[in-house]
Amino acid sequence: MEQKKKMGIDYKLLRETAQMSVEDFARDLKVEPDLVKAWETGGAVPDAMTQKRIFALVKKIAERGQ
Amino acid sequence: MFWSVGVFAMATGVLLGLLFAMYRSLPALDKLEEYRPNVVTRIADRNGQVFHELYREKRFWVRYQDIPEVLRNAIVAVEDDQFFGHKGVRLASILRALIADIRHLSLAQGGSTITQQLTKVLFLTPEKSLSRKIKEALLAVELEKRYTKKEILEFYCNQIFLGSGAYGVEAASRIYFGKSVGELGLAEAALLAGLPQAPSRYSPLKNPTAAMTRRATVLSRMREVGYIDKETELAAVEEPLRLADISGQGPSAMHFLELIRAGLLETFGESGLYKHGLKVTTTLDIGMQDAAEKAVAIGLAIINEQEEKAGVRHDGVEAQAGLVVMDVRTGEVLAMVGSSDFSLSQFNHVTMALRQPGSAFKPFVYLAALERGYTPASVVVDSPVSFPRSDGPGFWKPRNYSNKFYGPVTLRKALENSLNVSTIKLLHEIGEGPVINVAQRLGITSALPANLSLALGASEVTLLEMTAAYATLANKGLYTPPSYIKSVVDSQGTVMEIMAPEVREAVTPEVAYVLTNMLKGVVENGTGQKAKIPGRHIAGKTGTTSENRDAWFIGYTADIAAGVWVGFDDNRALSSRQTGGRAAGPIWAAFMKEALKGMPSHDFPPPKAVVAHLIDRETGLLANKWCSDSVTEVFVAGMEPGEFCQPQAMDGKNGF
Repeated sequence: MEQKKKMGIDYKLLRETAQMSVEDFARDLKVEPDLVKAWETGGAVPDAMTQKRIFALVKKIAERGQ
Repeated sequence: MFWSVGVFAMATGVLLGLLFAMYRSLPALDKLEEYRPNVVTRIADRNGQVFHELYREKRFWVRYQDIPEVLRNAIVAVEDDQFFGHKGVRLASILRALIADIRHLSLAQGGSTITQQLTKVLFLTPEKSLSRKIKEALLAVELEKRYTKKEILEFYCNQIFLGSGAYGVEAASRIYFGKSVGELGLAEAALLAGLPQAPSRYSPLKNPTAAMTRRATVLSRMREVGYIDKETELAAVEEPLRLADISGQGPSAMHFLELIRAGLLETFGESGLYKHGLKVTTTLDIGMQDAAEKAVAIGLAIINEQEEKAGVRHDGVEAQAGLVVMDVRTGEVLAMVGSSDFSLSQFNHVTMALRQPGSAFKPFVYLAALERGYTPASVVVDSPVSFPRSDGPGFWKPRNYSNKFYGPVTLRKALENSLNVSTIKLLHEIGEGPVINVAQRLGITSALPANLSLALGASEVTLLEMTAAYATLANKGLYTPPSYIKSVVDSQGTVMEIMAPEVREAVTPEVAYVLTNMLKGVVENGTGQKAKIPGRHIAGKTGTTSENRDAWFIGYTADIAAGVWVGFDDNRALSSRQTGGRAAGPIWAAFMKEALKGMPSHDFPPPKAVVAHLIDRETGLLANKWCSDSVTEVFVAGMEPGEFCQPQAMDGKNGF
């Protein structure tokens, strides 16, 4: 029984669904906008602490007008 | 004078020639020895309780000695008071009838003996002609030569049509009085004896007054012939009509019955089904069927009222429902409600209706995942996701029912809350192939297209397929196809067919158990809470399709599985409140509460190769002192997580 690689997070879609610009998204997560762009293109992966902030943001999306 | 004698001799010769010719053309009486009357096929439930009869002519053969004397006397008195004295015909009666016919220029008068009447129904056509009357008389004489009076009267009593579908005195006695012919009193016997002349006109069900008048005539004849005295006659005339109570009868099980009838017809043919007096023991449980019919009737009444208030039923069209119950070990169907009312809709929503199962299909995705090494503690991130549309340009962006995203969730939580996004991501990870494969192993035979909408149950299936698949999980992964008949025995007691279940392993007992454990969580903590029954161990899953066109709940205990579907035949949407949990769940629970009464409650037994561990509820990692919210989770042995909670992994207060 072999487990496949888990499907990751689509950071660009997440940001767009949250109706945020790259700059707003970066400010919310306390990182540089260039780092956000790198996540979105697959050039980098958020660290564990930032990921926790991202997950918190995911849960707030509905409250932001979905 | 010479000419007169000549004409008379010639006329006599022609008449004798005609009679001889007619005699030669008579049907062979041997037919009586070979004669097999149409006999009722009785359909019994699993405990032997007969709940229905199939027949062309409703007839129960009763022997001469079992026909009460009072009834034999009543019949003889009113139909043929010289029966035990004549040789088949009564010349005086024939002449009297003939004179009356000539006077009225018709052939309406009877004058037939019981033997003649029997020959008429057995061998001749009902036409009214002189030649038919002559043949009837000739045959009656022949019949009397071959058979005793008792045999002829027995045949007659079992052969005559007595109205309301009843052929023979026993069937009529059961239909009109709700008892066997041996239990009839004088007044009842007189009423039956009066029916052959005009069964419809004298029917106690249709024309009670006419039936009473006819009964008085029969009683009067009985007195005239000497069978009863005046006092007895008057007492019987005064007796009120006491008919069988046909109201408040048990469950109808009509859709189930139709399946049985079609199956028997295919196996035994028309003749076998209607002539051999089969006793068919089905898998049905009458008590459960009764509970199922009541649960559907009450549930639909509530839903229809709600839908009317919501404006969904502006045209009066009623919502439909299907409910099916199976024994999880044998696959035997214990109860089936195919629609709200068989007389209004013969369409069977259990076996015929192809409907989208919605989230009720999700367990197959999780089952395929468990088979591929995922566990209930595996985490999937419930976050926005998009896929290129296969049916055109643009992207498909699935959402959860709540329109929210939930971040990292365990598979258990995703299933309990029926999260669409998590399930689609899981399906994307494992691929459609394994999910279709596992669904087919569980008995789903409807077409399942390989695309991601599979996760949301967009492919149409039947309620029976789905319930049988869930029953497989309850049966430790062993699939048994649904069955309806236990045995078929003919009227001589010869066993014609015994059904044995075909069992095959669809999934391992370990994987079946782990998924069952997750589905218990659906009922205890998730979308299926309306199906919760205190003190019972229940696993199940809701299903709601887009715009609430279908509402499902399928659930099971360790012993029985039941599935409920609610929706409209024209596929219109139910109102927004009618989710699977709210529309189908309460019907399911109402049925189960009644069905499980008196049955012991026991949990699903875990297989040996299943282990339990304390894990962190959020991360799915093995619990230690760093976990603030731990819970016991079950795993297929060897598939439990290898890591423990990390200090930073459980810190939820740092900055957000």
